[in-house]
Amino acid sequence: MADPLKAVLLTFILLVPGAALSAGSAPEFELDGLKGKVKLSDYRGKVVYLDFWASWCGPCRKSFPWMNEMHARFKEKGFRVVAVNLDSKRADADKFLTQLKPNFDIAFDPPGEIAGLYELQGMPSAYLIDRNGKLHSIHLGFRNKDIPLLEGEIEALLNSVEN
Amino acid sequence: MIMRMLLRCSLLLSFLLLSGCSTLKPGGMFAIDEVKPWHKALLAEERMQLNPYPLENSADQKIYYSRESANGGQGVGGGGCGCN
Repeated sequence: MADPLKAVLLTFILLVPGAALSAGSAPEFELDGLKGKVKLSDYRGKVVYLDFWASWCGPCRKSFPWMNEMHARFKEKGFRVVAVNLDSKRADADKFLTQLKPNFDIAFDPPGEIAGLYELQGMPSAYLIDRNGKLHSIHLGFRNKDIPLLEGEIEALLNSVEN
Repeated sequence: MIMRMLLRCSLLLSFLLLSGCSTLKPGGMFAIDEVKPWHKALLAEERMQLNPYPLENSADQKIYYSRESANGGQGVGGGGCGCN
């Protein structure tokens, strides 16, 4: 009697998706952007701050001025911000963008496919990727107290010799 | 025997519930999908908040506290009479 039960249990255990985002290279993607396609591999050689946001998310709104500032400050050293929008309605995203005027690259992922690929745990989430396309760190949420840490990590990656 | 069966069933059920419903889709047991962080647009709307009208609520609480001599606790007291 217990054997079929065990089989059923085992089936469900095996079905649980447990594959964590592997440390190593950041998953490749290609999405529609404001001007043509946005492809992660095109950023090889740059330090990329890959941000996932939506218009309805409060901390996302707070992060945009900071991302603008970072992009302006470190652009020359090879820093790029790629902000992937997850709004299901494009009009919501467009309204947000006219308000916050980002100077960095925006991509659109309404079905959240890439967010799924990156195993997003919350909004906003940021993935710091080094010059070799390797995932360096994941930052969940955006708080003022995280800013010094983030800036330190970005600068360290930009100045790192091995990249 | 029946107790053991019941125990096993409840164990199985709790496991199913804990393991996340998205994994059950192929079996068709629940047609529920896991809510991902980017699916929470509706939940973030103002009208979906526990207290959707903070100003109105604060006024209500002030009246409740000061005019009905109820116990406060909402941080809004005083009826303007200097007695509160």
